[in-house]
Amino acid sequence: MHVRTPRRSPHDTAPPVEVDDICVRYNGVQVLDHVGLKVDHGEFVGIVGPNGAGKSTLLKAALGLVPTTCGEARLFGKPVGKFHEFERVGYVPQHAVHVDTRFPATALEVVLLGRVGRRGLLRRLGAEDRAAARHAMEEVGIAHLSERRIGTLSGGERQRVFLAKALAAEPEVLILDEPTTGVDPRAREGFYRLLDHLNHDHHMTIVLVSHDTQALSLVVHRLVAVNHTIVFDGAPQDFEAKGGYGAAYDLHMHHGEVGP
Amino acid sequence: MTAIDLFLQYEFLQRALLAALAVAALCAALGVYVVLRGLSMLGDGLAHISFAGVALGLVLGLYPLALALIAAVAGALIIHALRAKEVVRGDTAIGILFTAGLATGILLVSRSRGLGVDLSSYLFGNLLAVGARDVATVGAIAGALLLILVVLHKELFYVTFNEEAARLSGLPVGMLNVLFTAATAASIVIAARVVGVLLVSALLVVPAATALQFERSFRATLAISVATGLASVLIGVWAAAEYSLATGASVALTATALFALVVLVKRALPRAAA
Repeated sequence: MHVRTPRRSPHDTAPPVEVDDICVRYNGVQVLDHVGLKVDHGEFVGIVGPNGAGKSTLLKAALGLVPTTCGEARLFGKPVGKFHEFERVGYVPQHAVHVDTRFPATALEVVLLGRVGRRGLLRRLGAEDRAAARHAMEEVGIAHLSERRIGTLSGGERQRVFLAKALAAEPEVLILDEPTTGVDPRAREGFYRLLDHLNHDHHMTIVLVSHDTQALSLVVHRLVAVNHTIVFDGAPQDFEAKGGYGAAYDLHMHHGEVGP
Repeated sequence: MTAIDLFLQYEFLQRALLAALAVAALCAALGVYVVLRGLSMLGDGLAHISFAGVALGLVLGLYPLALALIAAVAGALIIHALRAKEVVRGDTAIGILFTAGLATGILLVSRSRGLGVDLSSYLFGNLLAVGARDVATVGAIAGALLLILVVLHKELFYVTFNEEAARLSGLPVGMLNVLFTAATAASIVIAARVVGVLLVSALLVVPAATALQFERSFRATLAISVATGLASVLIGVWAAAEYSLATGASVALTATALFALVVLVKRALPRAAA
């Protein structure tokens, strides 16, 4: 099977994703307090933490979707406000799976949307874009679903559609926010294996937010635990060794919420 | 002389029908986005707001269609701003403004007598008596807006599907939303000319709702919506001319009948695998 490896300029040494001492405030709450994180090319990073601890916010700040009150977020070395090479970043937002089941769109039409960033405003999507979309669907194993309406697919199949959409842009980094919510355990396993394959065989940089610490520890190379600040950043096995969840969130545990 | 003979003979009727078809195609296509964004009441709302513009035009002796356009676009942008700044919810904003618009129109009308006929043609539509100038204006606006829809097809689809993802792909979402709102306003005004202020939803919402019943791809949905809108106008206008019925109502009832037909046929057929 012919596969595409992300294109990269040989002079590009800036880390794909970097947040430099950032703070984010929502409705008077300090969601992120001086958070620093650098993701290098080829890394497979998992971000975990309790609900409301700022994991999704961290992703959104890194992508420039929410404003920061201190520090700077950078993509490929450029401050997010000045970053316009949207095709280099493949983003799968949270609740992407929760599409209105009656929305009239086929899987292929959704995956094709992934090409908009590369094509730009006012340009029509052409044969090259369709080929890229179909190719992405093949890589992800859902080519047979292209004419199916998105609402008729299972949670796992829909998740793959959104992954294919992110891949269709031929990005250099994939950023996924809670991609396995609403996906059954078997499909979840297959999904992680797919990400592992993309990282290992195609050198795709991957940043993944999940509350599913256990599953994540088995597949990522680096685990970052967030609870308004970074409480852990290292190898998954060291996280377990240091007492994992309990120890890291000892002082900040929310009442009633223990574990994933 | 049958209705068809009439249309074949009189050029002004042919022009009026062509303008109506252009408007139907435009509203049917736009309507798909409107319905999917949950803005179905917007059509009605903006039509009522445009009524204030029409009344003002008639009272001042200015071209009513132009003032209707200004009122509708202004109203749409105010609704858009109220939603964006989260002052009130979308449907509330629509409700407030359409009351204001209609009331303004009524006030203006009540202060000047003798507007009966002209006003009635705006309220209920009187396509076949539309003057040449209005036909040309309506046709031109419909053509321009259709062009915009075609050019911005993928952008509008993306924004309607997932605004956040659209923003992240670099699309100017704010501007696209404003443009969409203004285009909807302009479409409503010209639709009102065809079916009247009160029945604008017949062209904007009903064909789209019918197409959505088919549960197909986005492309297919747009195509079916346009086909349904065109059919509604053709059949409705023919029936109105043939049996001396009010044009607007005839078109609206045809559109509704088509919707009912599709729903009934869908229920009757065994469920096919999607």
